[in-house]
Amino acid sequence: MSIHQEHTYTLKKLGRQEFITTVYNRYGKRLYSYAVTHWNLNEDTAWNLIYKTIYKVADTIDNYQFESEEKFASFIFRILINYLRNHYRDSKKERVVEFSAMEDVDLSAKIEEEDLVPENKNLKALNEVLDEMEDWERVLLLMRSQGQAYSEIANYLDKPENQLKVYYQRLKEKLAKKLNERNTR
Amino acid sequence: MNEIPDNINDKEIIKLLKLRMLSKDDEALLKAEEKMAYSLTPTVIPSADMEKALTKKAILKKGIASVIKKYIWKLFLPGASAIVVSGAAVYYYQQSINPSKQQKEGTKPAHQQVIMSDSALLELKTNATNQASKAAQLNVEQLLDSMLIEHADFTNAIYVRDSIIVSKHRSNGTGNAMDIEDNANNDSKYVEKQHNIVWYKFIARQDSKLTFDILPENEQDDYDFMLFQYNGLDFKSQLTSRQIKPIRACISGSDKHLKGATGLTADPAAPAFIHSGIGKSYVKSVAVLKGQVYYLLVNAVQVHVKKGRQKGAGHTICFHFRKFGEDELYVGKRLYFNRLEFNAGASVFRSGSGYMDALDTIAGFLKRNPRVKIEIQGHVNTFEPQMEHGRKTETQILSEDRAAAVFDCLVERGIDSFRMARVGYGGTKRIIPVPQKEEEYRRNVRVEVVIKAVE
Repeated sequence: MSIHQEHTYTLKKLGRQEFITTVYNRYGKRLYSYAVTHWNLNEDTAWNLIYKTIYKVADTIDNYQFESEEKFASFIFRILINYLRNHYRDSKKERVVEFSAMEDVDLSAKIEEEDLVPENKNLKALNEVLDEMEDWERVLLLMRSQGQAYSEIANYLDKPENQLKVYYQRLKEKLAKKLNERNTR
Repeated sequence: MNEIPDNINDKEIIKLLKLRMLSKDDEALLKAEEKMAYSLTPTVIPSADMEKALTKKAILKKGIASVIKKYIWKLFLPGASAIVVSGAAVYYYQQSINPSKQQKEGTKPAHQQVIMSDSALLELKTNATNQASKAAQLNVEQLLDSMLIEHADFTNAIYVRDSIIVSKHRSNGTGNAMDIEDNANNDSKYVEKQHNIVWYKFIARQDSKLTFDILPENEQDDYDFMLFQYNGLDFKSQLTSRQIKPIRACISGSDKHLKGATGLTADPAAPAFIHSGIGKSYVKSVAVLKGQVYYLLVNAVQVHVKKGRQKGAGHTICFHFRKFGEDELYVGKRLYFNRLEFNAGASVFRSGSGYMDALDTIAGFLKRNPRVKIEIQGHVNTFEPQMEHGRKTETQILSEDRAAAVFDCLVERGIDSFRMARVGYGGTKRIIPVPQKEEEYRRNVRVEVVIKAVE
């Protein structure tokens, strides 16, 4: 049994209360801060999401086996993302994030296909443009736009640091150009 | 470098990418985001009240459970009353410490949602199946056309042409393309791993209740299956990215008493999904509608035997399409087609077409079956798109108006308006794609009433 396996194994052996406290201290606090700062959620909403996430983890942990601690961490993160999606879908009307470039984008449009409304064109265009990019290109855009250092990104993507700056500018240009093309079409 | 066009700045890019993450399972992005989230130093800290609520609830639950146990054993209480009383106590106490009163969902206390995680799961599942059943009901010809293109990608899908078929195929290996990747998150709807895959595809020839049996040649073989509904869009990529979920799946181990058979059963009590491990072998039947296309993935799990790995000796599948009874209600059933005729180019009923009888019939039906909700669909015969230059086209408006006319008449006949939805489809869902004769022309112009929900 590796160290990692041992870790989740011991986590599972904890009682429900200790489990919740441990998961909260180890992951929940950070995710709460993340939800507030990166998704512009108000504190109550963010807390509600974290709260749900942790209880969901506690309720379902027994059904899963995790190879490593990272897998467990990303499991928690995915649950949070799902709750975020639900949250945006439910609060269709109050748009928390304002989109100046994509005025009429409705977050729920893609998720709630059952409405039988034609899919939102802008969102579709965006996804198509992004689909054309390579994975690392999107990741570069994401990380840099959130203010991470080029050295870190280079480390993560395994690419030479000095090239990334050029790539980033070009990608931005490309994205803007393509989106403009689609919008005027 | 200076000429970065337009107003796109970093903030904008963040928003665009967040939008992407919410609308699509973009693995690469989510991974990077996750790394970033965990490497943050927390700047905002939850208030003490919030934290208290989180842990208190857990302690309380545990405490009360142990108390109940004690009393049941010591005093031989009938148990039920103790549970009711303590359950109520838990409820009130939790309500008093529930931190999310200001939530929009505040009508339902947060802890209830958490405790009912099973029902939430169920909701997710039903949502998935609803989506699948509401996916575009294209007609057969159109689907076949699109299939021809799609089929090149699905090289290993065997086209099942008859409504009842006995097909034998020795499954062998995973094929070239990994359509379904290994199940890292242990999603209960997905096979754990592709072992020996066979893809089948079939088109429903009529509205019916579909069941099938997968019978392995060798009784010890373990077969799993997943059933997908084809939606005519970029099915393959959505399948790989798991945007399209299976509508039925049975991943459990083989059952000796059933000789390893698995499939769909007519038993309404069966679940829609069975996860891996020991469990039942049959899941619930599916209501299929004429023209819908389904993909069935059959996976023979590799079994370790003494002489190495066994690949499964092949299997037989029997499909059964049982016709719905006249009175049977199911989502997607068409209630009425022909007699609702309109004056050309207008949303006024054509006199003498028997429209009054037709409306009475529909109203009568809805009164007899109060659980049914319907959608009134207006269709016209046109090649115009629904929108042009940001405005609805005239034909689109006409189709909406006609649906509205039927809607209004039904409201007049005393049907609650919340049970009915009205939608104009313009010319997007023609029965005959390219009409040549007057008669074919007529068939495309119609108002349909379709069951959207049976509650």
